[in-house]
Amino acid sequence: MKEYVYLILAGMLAGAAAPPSKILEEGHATLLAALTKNHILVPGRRLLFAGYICSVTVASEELPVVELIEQEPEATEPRGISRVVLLTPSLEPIKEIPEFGGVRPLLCKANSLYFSGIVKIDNIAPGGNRVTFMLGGDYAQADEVDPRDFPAAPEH
Amino acid sequence: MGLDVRWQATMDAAIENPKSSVYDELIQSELITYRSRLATTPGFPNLDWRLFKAVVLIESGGPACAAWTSRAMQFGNPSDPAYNVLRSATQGSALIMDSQLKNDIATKSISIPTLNIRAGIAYILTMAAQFGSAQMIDDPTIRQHTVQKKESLFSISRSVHTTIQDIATNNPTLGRTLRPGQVIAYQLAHMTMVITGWTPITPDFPAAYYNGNSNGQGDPNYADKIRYVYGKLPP
Repeated sequence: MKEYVYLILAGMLAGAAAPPSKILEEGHATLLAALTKNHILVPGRRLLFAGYICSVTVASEELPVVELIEQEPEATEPRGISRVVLLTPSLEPIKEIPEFGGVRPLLCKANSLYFSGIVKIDNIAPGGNRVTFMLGGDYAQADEVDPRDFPAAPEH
Repeated sequence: MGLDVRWQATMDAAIENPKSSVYDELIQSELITYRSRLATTPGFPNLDWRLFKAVVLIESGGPACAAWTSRAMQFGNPSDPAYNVLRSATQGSALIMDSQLKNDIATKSISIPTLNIRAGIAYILTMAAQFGSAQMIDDPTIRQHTVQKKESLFSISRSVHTTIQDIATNNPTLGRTLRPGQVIAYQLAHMTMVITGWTPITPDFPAAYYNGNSNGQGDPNYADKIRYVYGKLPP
């Protein structure tokens, strides 16, 4: 009998909860609001994609990583800008990493962010497909690892 | 190649237009200047002025378009991140630009077409260069520092104006743990950015690094457009 009561209560709670798409939309809206408030989104650019990727852990702080794909609408030719941004826990920008040539962020593990493709930090060679953040995220270095050694998502 | 026939006609007319050669000398002289300054850097690429002219024609739309006499390379549009790179002389661009260009970017309108082209070329070269950090010895005199409590290699290198690399070189037996009272030899030194190599500047290069078609949001035909215009330009 007791089990049935629990089942009914659980059913009622599940029924009352927002649908998953609404929860995700709210999270996305929160992210967009923070990116706007903290001047990470540049006025005049057309935002095509903004997504939370994962969080790295630097000095016991969880720092979110987002990816932004934008367009420069004034240009004669359609021109693109892609970047990942490391944020503070209050979603303020710490560090930006530009992406060129189809590079995408994949997943986080400890204080490292893994990419499909090679990125450079501040345009300094050598680049790599793993970026490791230090000193609160202000300092980052890239190195190249065999993709077979990537940790499995969704670890972080 | 799926290039739009109207775009091809626009470019054909642009190439035939006698005014399309007004920036040829500028592009050629810019590249000669870069060659004379940077040719000794490792792997300095072949710089084909016609490839850069093709970019100017594509970006501006040609002499019949308004951009031809303003932002001819569409550099420095309001939301263009590349302009800030040159203005702040970051990402290695300080090593690419000469003092004249740095000054012009700081003081003149980026809508001056000749400056726009010079800036666009400088940005493409900045992205093509591979930068690394190298140690510069400021004074070869060997000095000594006595380790204090709570000091680390990093804090010592900052306080005595040297580098961790110099400390490692001058103290080959130094372990990972420092002890107060330990004496460390060093020279005055700092790290600086240097050009360590180059990526070849083919039509695919501006497509990825100037047009920024990283994730499909740029022009997917950009490299083919460069090949089309380049193939029509007289040698």
